[in-house]
Amino acid sequence: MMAPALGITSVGVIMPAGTELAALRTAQAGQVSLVQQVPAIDGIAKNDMRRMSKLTRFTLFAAQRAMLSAALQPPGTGLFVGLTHGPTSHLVEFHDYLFDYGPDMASPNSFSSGVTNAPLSSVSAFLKLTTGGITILGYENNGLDVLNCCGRSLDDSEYTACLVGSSEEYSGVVHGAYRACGWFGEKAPAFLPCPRDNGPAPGFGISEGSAFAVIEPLSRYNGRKPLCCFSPVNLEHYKGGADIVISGAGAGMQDAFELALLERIGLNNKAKKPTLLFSRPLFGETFGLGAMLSCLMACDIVANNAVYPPFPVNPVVKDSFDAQQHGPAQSVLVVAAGRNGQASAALFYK
Amino acid sequence: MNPHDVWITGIGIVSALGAGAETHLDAIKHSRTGLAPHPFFEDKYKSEFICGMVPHDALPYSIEESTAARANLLLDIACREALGQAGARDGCGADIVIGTTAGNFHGATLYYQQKRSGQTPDTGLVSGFLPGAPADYIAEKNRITGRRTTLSSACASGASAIGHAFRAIRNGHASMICAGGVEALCPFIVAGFNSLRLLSKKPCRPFDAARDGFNPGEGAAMMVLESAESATARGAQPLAVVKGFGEALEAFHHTRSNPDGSGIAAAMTKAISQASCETSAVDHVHLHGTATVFNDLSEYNGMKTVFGGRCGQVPVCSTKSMTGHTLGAAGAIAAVFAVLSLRHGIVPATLFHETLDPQFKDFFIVTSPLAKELKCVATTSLGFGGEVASLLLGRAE
Repeated sequence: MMAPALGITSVGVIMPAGTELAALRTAQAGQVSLVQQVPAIDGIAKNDMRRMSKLTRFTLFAAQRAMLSAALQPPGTGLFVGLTHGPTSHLVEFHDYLFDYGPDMASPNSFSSGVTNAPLSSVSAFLKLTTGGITILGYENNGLDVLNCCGRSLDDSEYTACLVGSSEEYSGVVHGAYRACGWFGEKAPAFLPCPRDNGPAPGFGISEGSAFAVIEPLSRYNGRKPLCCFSPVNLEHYKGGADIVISGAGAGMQDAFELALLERIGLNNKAKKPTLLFSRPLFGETFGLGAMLSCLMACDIVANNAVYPPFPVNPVVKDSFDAQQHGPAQSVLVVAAGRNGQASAALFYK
Repeated sequence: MNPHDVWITGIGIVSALGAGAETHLDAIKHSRTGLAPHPFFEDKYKSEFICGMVPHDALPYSIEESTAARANLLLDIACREALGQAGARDGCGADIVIGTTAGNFHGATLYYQQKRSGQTPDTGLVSGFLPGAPADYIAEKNRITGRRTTLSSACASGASAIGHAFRAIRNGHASMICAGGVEALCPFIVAGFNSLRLLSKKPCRPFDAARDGFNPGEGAAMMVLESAESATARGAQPLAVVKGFGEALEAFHHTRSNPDGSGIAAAMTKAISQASCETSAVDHVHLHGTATVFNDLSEYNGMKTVFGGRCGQVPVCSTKSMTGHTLGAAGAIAAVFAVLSLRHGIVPATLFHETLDPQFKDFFIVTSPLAKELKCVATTSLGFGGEVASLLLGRAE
């Protein structure tokens, strides 16, 4: 089956680095922080914003930015949201009330805003998207999974266009749990992918934010131009040829699988070595969102000739890739593996 | 035969009624409920809630004993049964699509409780409550090697999982998928719906004038869905077929359904039109029927919109009064009930329903098991935030 050709019409993003695609380029390797403030959203009262979880606020902001830029009409538009941990801050608040005051005093708002599909339903209500959609839960490759699922649905004509994105909010509890498990730390690794050994776990620190895109089939553009095109890729059939590869490695639990992925892709790189980039040194560990941020990087490189800094490459795959500063690119392959070994990929091109 | 027709070649189910499709068929025939009082919370907050907990003979672990693995264990019971019936018990290359709302969330509650009280939290709980854990668990236990997806549309999750699997097969992206839903009871769920004042202190009474909420439940239901081509090549027989799937987002309120039923109507209409059939072909609708004031009203209005003057002739039921409201598993459990209805010509009773809400004119609520030849059954599922899903299942001819 041929991979569908789809266009990215617009993007919306909120990260510690800023709320524009261009701001992503200014992120510095290893300098991870958190979102300080979500800008006001026209049409949502401050009190309503306050009641929402951080995750929902991030999601709403990025999603409405993407929709506004696309000037898309809601009918026929599908909505896909990818998450890893959900609205954890509200769940912590719910449990605090539950443990301190008992079940009759637990917060109904924390519960209803803490359910996993709360970000999707808030976007649906605010943007009047009624056609359908889904929240997909997953690990480090989730952002790509959501994008590819949306692409497949468009190709099948389930929707006329899609608003698709991924979000993550920082939570001290999640951070503490991962640290207690020894799953990763905050000391930057010497190279990537960096599978864990028995020593102290390296990592880039946990960050947060949201990234969305409006996707349409190329047949719908009618004279308009997409920012770039993309196609889901089945890595079993990938024969190489991309100018740049962006990996989801971040010295986390996914890295052993990322390394295996890059070894496999590297076998196809005999004629031409693509530049290998990583998104996590720039944006931190954002779990499922990380793969979506890699996609936005790819879109920025292809559409705007943006340049992102390289990071040292694991010696095992070093010979198959170029690790120097990259130039303009016609095509970028984004790959990501989750901690459960599942891998996803998509190709972005002019 | 269209090679991309979607056959159901195996079903598996576990709920408060017990484990297995045969057990559930027996419960339908004898109008048995699995609802019973169960204590939740500790010390001064300890109180009883009517709920649909899976009995000990089906799952020999309490909530506390199964900690961060209860959803895995429930899903595995349903998965094994479905794979066995489909003749794929020895491993297969199927994909997995699971719907859930809270998964193994009790592990997260325990972890946070330990942390708050100054203990060193049990890190063994962490991997268990992560979202993909139940799908990963059944894949490993049953040697299912395809792609795993976990999705959430609140209480419509189970139906959405089956619907998305149906689409993937119909559109040629997969030939075999294990799809379904799972939910494990835990104090978090009970406290959450209690805080929203949605729990009834009695066994729930869907569509009754005196309905006052639902009883939380747990369980899992799985289906092996296959393209007709793939199933035929294996020599597998269809138990029923998935004919259509419709979804809608109400964009109305973060917990309440739109009382006008527009979301239900949109989803059901899509499912029916996708199957290229008329509403007159639908013989029975297995409703979500949570016994909350607004959900039931929404479903009634959705039914009126879709069926118009024929609404009073279409027998409808809700089995929440048998199983409790199993949240993310509910849509998949309803789908398995629908397969049993199609295969055995029986519409389950809506237990504890006594007096029809006078708002619901011309509404055919089945209150004792109804023998009826069924060729086409629709299900409806509604979730928090206005997520609606509807499946259309047909008898295997």
